[in-house]
Amino acid sequence: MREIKNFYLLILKMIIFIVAVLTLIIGMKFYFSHLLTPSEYGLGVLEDEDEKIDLLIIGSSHTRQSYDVKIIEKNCQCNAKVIAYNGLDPYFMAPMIEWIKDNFKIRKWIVEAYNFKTIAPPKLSDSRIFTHSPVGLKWSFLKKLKSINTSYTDLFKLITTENNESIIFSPIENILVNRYSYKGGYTRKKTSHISQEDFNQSFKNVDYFKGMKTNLNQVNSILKIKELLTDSDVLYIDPPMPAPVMSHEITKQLINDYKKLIPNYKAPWLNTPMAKNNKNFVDWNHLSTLGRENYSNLISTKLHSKHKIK
Amino acid sequence: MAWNPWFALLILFSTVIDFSLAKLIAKNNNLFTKRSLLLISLFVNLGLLFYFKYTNFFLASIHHLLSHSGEFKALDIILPVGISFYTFQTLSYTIDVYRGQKEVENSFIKFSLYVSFFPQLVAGPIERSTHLLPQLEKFKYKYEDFIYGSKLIVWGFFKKLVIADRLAIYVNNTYSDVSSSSSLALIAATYFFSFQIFCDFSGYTDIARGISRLFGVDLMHNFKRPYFASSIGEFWKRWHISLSTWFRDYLYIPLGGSRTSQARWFLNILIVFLVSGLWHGANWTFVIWGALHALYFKVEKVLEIILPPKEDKKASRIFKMLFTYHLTLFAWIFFRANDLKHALNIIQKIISDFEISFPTLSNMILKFTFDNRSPSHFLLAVLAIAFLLIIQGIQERKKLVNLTNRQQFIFYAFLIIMTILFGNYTESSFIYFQF
Repeated sequence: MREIKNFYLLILKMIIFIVAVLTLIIGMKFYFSHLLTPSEYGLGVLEDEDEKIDLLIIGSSHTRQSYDVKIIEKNCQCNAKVIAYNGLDPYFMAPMIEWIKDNFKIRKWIVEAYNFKTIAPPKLSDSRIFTHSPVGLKWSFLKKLKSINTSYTDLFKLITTENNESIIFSPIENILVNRYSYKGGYTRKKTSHISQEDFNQSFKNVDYFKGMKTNLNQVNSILKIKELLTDSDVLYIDPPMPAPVMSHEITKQLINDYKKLIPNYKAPWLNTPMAKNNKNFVDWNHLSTLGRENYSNLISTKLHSKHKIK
Repeated sequence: MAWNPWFALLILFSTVIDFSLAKLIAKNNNLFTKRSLLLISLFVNLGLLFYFKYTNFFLASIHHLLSHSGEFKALDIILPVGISFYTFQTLSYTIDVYRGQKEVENSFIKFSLYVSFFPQLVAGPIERSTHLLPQLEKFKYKYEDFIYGSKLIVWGFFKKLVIADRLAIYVNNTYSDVSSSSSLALIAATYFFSFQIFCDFSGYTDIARGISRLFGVDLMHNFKRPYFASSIGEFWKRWHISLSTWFRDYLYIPLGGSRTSQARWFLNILIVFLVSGLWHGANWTFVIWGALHALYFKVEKVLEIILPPKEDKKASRIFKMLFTYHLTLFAWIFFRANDLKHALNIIQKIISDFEISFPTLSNMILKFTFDNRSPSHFLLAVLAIAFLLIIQGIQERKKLVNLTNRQQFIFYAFLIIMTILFGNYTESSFIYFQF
């Protein structure tokens, strides 16, 4: 009996010790993890509060694959940056935009208006958004996560276990990530293109969204973004997708829904030959390297001529 | 591999058969009757194993031999969890009773517990009745057992969650996409697999042994730092010990072992390794894996005759260890591949596309995650392997036992914290559950 008691006592000591050490580590991670963000990626591109940013493009991987910052900067003679995280949706984009607006000087915004996001339930798909965020933004995300009933297990994972590798290896990882990025966009990463057959069949991916209804959280967040940014300072752009995806009934309906929310919604590539060429796409919703170059040239010309971004 | 409540009847059937046959064997003095009863046990147990595990493999092989056209339609047979393990465990009991090495067990409950002892039921260690049954007489709770058991559990979870499951991401990602993987990525995946399978299986064994120890039951060792072996013979004394000793005692020695002609000896070795390969799964890749080990073992023995081993110097032992490790590494390609064609594709790609440059190196690292986003997963995996080897190196020199209680407390707390912070918590089962 005494032996069992001793054993339980030891276990108790162990638990107290582990909880204490973990609390310290997690606390440090919560408060300082944003300092280890790669300078050429995600929120890491926003370093200097006094820097004037002519163009800030914000969105998901859909956006990251679409904009070549070097081409845009060359064509527009401006200082442009991309903040893109995998699966970033309007629900989590809104607090991020609010925080950026409060802390940095942005002349013109391009906000991703990815039409499928209006029906997808809110999700923090890429936990790096949280790790790269400063404390204030982290709290905003936690509040948002709580209000969509995120489980305590998922919150614990987000705070405790996610991206620890990236943090301890940040001196090495950041060098590698920065080699492949420039101001938040891809530079060297070469991607091949989708086959003609897969391109023709790409509309089938849209069937996944069949029967899904408009998500109120996402819609409210889009309206919140609209409220945060002055109409003349922002462009809501849905980056390119293959023509068969765009001609799907669901896509058309979602674009119309988006237009009702945001009258100045843009899809500047929609009727261009690039949407019909499989070589411009790596899959059903991401551009290939060639597509990124083509689209970046197209968009920067329009930005320069129509929107006077210089 | 799957679970179905009806399969519980299977283990019950196996238990009843061996319990009854062993009793009859013990009662009977007639050698012919004893032998017949043993044959019934072998027939029933191996028959069940053959039906559930090898029917489709056997039919598919015949189908391919007889006709090259048409696709083979596999029968809908589900492999019951743990069948390869408990079948061997019950068989060993009956054989031991037949040989007079074990007294017959009179309590059916105790015998059932021996067959179905939950920590090791699904993936071993394959226990011997002479070792486990006496311990099931009375469970003893001792402080030392609690401590030792808990340490094993912590170490086992660390190996599984931090090392094996992390490496699995890279290995699965690379091996499932040979055509777009570089030679270097495939080489890295093969190295990683050697540690993945070790940490996955030995991690399970540690957890099973740890849980048993909490009840005061000491299960046999299944691994003794196998990658520190300096010969293939030594490797098999350190890898999956409960299976290799089972084959030694119940197959190799009855076949005549090494006390026979050279040709027969080689045949015995070949049979044991081929059966051992097939035991792992109904696939030609496992047969090749077994055959390779048989070949290594035989060549090693021949070399030992031609060049008698001298006393090992440190440098020569390290060289032998690395050489042995790389022999096993090559065989792991077959063990991990989906089929022979896949294995040959991997080998061909490794040889034909071999190149070291910055792009191939960085592509190799970036391939670590499904969305190519974090090279740190790769770096952590390398660090975890280095940590494992350092700890095992210390264990090899038996220095870990000299730590003070406080040092041990900190070491195991460190392991738990690392497991919480760096464990891979995506759903994944143990590799050996499928066998």
